Amino acid sequence: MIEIQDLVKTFDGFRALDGLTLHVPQGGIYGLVGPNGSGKSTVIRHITGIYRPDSGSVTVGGQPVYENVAVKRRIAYISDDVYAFLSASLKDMKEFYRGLYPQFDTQRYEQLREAFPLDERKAIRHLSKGMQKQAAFWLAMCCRPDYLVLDEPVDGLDPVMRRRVWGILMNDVAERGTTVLVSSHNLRELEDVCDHVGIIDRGRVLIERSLSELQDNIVKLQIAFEGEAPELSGLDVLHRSAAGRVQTLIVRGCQAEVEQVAASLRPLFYDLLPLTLEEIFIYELGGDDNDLKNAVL
Amino acid sequence: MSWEVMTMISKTPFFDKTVARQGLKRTLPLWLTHAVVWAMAMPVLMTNIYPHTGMLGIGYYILMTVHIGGPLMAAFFSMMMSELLCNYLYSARSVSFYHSLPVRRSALFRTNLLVGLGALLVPAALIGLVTWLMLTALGARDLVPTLLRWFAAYAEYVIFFTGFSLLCAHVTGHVGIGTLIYAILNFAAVALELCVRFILSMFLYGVRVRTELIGVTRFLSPLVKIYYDHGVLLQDGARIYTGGSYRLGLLAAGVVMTLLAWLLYRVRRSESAGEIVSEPALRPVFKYCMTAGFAFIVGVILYFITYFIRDEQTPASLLWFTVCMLAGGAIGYFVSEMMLRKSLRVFKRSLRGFAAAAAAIVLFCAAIGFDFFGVERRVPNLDDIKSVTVELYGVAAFDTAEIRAGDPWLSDVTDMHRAIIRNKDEDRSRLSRTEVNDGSQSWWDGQTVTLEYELTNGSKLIRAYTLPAWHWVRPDEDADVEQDVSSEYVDTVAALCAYPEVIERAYPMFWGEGQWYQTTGEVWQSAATGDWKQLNEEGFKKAAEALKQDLLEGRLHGWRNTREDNGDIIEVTLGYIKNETGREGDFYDVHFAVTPEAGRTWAVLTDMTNYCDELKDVDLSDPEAFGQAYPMLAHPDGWTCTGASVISWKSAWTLSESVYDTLTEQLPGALAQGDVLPWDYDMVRSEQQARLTLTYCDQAAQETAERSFMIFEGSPLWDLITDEENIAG
Repeated sequence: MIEIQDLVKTFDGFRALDGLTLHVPQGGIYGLVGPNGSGKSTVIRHITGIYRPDSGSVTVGGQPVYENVAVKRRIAYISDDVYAFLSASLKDMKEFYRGLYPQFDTQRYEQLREAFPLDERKAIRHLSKGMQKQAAFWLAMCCRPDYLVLDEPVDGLDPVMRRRVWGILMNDVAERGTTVLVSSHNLRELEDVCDHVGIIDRGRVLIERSLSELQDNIVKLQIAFEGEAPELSGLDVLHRSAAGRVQTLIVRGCQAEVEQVAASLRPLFYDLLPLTLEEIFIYELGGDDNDLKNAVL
Repeated sequence: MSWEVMTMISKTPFFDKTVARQGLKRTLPLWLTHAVVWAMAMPVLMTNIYPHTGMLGIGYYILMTVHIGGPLMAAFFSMMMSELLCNYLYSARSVSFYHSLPVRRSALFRTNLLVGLGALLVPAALIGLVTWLMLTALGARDLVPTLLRWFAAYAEYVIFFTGFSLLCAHVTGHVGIGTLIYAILNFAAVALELCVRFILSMFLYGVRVRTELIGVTRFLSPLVKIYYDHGVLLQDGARIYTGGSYRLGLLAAGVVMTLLAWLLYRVRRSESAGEIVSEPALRPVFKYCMTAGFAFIVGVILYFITYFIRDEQTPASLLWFTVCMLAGGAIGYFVSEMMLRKSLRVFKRSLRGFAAAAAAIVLFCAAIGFDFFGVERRVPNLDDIKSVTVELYGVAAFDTAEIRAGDPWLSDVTDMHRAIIRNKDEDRSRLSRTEVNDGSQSWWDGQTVTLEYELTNGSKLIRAYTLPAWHWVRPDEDADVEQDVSSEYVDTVAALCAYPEVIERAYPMFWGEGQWYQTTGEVWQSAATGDWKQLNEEGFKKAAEALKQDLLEGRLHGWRNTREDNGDIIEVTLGYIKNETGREGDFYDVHFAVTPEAGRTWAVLTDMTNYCDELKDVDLSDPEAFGQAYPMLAHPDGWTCTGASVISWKSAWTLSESVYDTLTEQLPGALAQGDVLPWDYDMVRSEQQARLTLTYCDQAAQETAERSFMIFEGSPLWDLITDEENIAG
């Protein structure tokens, strides 16, 4: 499990992380989402031991990670901007990783060759961005990490390769119980793979829940009445918009309870929709709508 | 940082071989080039020159490679190595990659350090070994101590420059800046001293710009000190590379700087990649160093191009100099602010800091302009003086006198010094004006008086003043210029120079029998040939003795430039090596302008028998001409060789009697083949040539003769005259 408690990080007076607390459960896929500049990459660089915290703690598997080789050997990290030595080929980098990660799995490297159609002798720097990402995945998966930290992992990959990469990753989680932390702007994709989500803004975690919990606690209700809409008593309406007779409401409560109340109002029709992660993200970070935040929390 | 992190115990090995392998791979072009350069300089070059130099010579050349090439090679390759091994710190991408790896920063640092040192020193050690094997195969013996000295000196240089460049590399987070800081710091002390001297010389009376750097500056500039103060010497039959204790100091400094670099790395934040100065605490240091550096360098340049040409030392010039310094300082301060903040909008936020810097600059200028520290007024106490050398020199004259503690006339020097300071304004006024009265003109010409005190505390005090020397008068427009009177300064210096003890100190070669080896005596006779002529050995001796007597009897003074005004003048230059054998000594020249008043010397110099014979244009292919020019070689039966001496590039020696006959036999053939040339009265101008002088005696005819030849490296006679076994002394 990855745990961050009251993490503070300041860059030249700018407080990038402001007492951030985050818990990534063991053996799951945790999606870290937030707007640009919210501190996602800074969090990830603390988890991977790159940054030293100003205060607070970052532990992985119960151990502090900064300068802890034993812990870092269990972590593989793919940054949003892949780095490789000048003129180093995939083979060279494989040897490099093999020397540093004792559990590096050469057999798996061979097995994954089919999944990643790359020229292993070509300098990684000369590969396209997507290919560089593939190479990074290939190497990271061969390190057999207990913790996989990914910063915008599929950015630059084509749809087929994205699906393949997620497949390999989820297979690893299922088989080995790998804990994965993913930071991405592609919320639609995260929604498909994550079981936990943390929303971060201005250096603090706003929401941290399992995805189902998050989606079950708030629903979108579309409802239309024949005449004037009655008083919507019994519904905890957090946001309302209307187009003609059709009203769209963001309502707190579980789906069954909301449906029961909506039906009792005898509308022309109603429909209950779960909020997508993207919608939650937008409502959460979209402005002054603190009610929504309260509702979700 | 949490307590847990700070107290965490590392289980990481000291050295990471994967990182090391990668480091070696990345730096391969660099260390391979380094190895090739040393391979060329050592085994290849040494095996080529060994047959020509012999054992003693090869030791000299081996140590000279590390003396000349070692510091430069170490400085350059260590800097490049540090830059390459540390450049991952300069980009967020690479530093994130490295610091996310399961390697502790301590192991990363140590591994990179060992890779850097190993990649330079291991090949050097192997090259030393190969050199030993190859030279031993050629017959050289006992080279191990020399090669160990060579390697130890190079290792000391590499460790120092590696530590230095690593420290610079860790101060910054920006690519190239570490190298720039390193390059600047290597010569910062020199630049600062020259700037300060230049400034002092502009505003303080008597302070002059000198090229000789003070000890502290040299100490802080290893590249300068090594070439200034160290060298390869012959001691007890072995070659010694001097400066061993300084190199040990460099070694220690290298270790300390490496530790400082490590401390900087420990506190370094990964996010400092891209920053000009990685550690926030060091940013003010960078900023104010930039301010000072720009104030000095840009300020001086600005002043020089806008004002210095007027050569004034007035309050206005001081004010303008302060403005120039402030302008330079402002550039340095705000540029550094922009670099640190990565923004052009720095002026509002940093005005207060600049105000402090500006105040310091103004204070500095005021301190110099108003001589807060009494530099201009300083005259040492008599008790503090060990010796003082007084020189009067300029286009018209040269006199020198060395006065020592205990000389009764030492107070004359300090009295004159005080008078010079006291009369500052008056003397400047005398020099700057021409007086015109009823059609006549008069003026003073200026000469420089230098006072170089050596004080009892080991320091030196040097002052140089341009002072009125001789008063000139032109009675009317059509009349010739006449020298009227000399100034009190000229008279004082002349009086000091006339003391016998002072004369002996000025010309020790006339007294130091057995300690001075004479080389060439050149004479310029304006009245006779108008050409330079060479004194023969006998003429040299006679001239030296006559000069000595004329000096003591007061008929000869230091040099006076009267060549263009007076035909009755003979200039003579005598060359000496200060060493009884002439080998490896320092060269000295004494130069006099002799007038008929110096009767003894005049007589010697006008006696043509004291000169070398004119043998330049002899046709060697004509047996008759050859026989006339070189009877001792053409018909050696009646002649006996009585002496043979050699003057080479930087030494001189005499040859043993055993080679006299061989030389006499081989010279005609060598002359005919062009291996040897008749001496054309020119100097020895390179290490590849030497002048051989043979003296002969024809006892039957009661005649002696001297002949000189120029011999070149590579000829059989060269081997003969340079062979240690044939050298008598």
